Amino acid sequence: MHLAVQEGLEEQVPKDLRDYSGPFDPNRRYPDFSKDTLVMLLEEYSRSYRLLERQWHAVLRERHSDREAVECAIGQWMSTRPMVSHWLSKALNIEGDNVETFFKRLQMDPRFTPAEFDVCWELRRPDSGVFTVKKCGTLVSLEEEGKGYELTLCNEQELPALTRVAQYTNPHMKMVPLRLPPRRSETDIACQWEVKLES
Amino acid sequence: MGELKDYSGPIKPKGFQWEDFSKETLIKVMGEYARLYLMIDGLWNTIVTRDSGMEAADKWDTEVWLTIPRPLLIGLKKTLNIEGNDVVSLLKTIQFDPGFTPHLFDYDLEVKNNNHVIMNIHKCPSLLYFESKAPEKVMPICHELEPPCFQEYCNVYDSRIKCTPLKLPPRKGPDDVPHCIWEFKLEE
Repeated sequence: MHLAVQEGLEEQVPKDLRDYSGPFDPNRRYPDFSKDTLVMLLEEYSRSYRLLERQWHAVLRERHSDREAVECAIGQWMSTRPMVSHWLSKALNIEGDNVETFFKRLQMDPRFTPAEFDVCWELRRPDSGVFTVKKCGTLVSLEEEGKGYELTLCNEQELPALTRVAQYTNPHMKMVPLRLPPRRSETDIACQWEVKLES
Repeated sequence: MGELKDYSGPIKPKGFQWEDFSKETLIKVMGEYARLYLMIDGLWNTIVTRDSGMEAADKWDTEVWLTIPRPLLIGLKKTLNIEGNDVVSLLKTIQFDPGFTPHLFDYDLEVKNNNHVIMNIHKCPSLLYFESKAPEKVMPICHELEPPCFQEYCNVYDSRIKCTPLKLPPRKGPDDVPHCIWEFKLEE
């Protein structure tokens, strides 16, 4: 990054900053912050990513229809999801073509972060596993909206989208929805999926 | 378990958390999240262009982005404990906007005073992409989407802060830098 031009301000010495409540520094960068702060910032980034997706959905639902919004979302997911897996795998050195690799990629997905989702990962064998989403903020929001959009989204978008992600890892990987909305109660799980490699 | 430099090892099925990773790795992930943040917007625009035409896609893209600054900046302010309503406070949050990270952008900030800052963007990956692959997007994005969206950023802090583009694409050539220049100034 270019050095900033600022009159009368001495260069700040980077430390493990807990926050940015101190003076403005035009050269302030991520390494200046503590790990705890970076974790919080990472959660904000994933929240922003989900916000952007949600806003596109909202605008399309308003301008078109729920049906067309879902179809656009599926189209967008088909392109996006392999890229998400690609870039994160490259950054995190995630390699392999089995279910364990797929689960690791999903764990790192900005749409699926630990603070927002509560996921139980059950790897039965390297080629078979089940993941259970116990808490999903998007589902809760749509249930509160009361228009039933979660039934369209979860039942029509998620399977092709997750399949696309899975098949980036291995074209023979199959996703099977075991449980999908509507939920039986507020304490019920959001969804549950089986993933297996078919030879 | 020590700090992870990457995720090449076995899966952690229980208790997975970001804290498992080293600082450097977290910074790498943030850089990728920032890349993906910009990418998904581009892909939404592409899909909607295919279905509804470029004019509608660009118009709705602007509508989407006008809804982003408020929740984004409020979240960043809270996370980073940024207080104050002057221009430098606004720039403190922009410095950590996922849409504007140093992983992808090269820019500098000339601080004239706490309420007057010039941002010189020397490298914008979106512009480079559009110039190469979709030159018809330069005018709609740089001239129609960015100015009102930057102004909305200012409005979150103080609507008296005006964001004025001092230089915008199209560029005269590949050596024409900065790519764009923006002035942030509080007008009393």
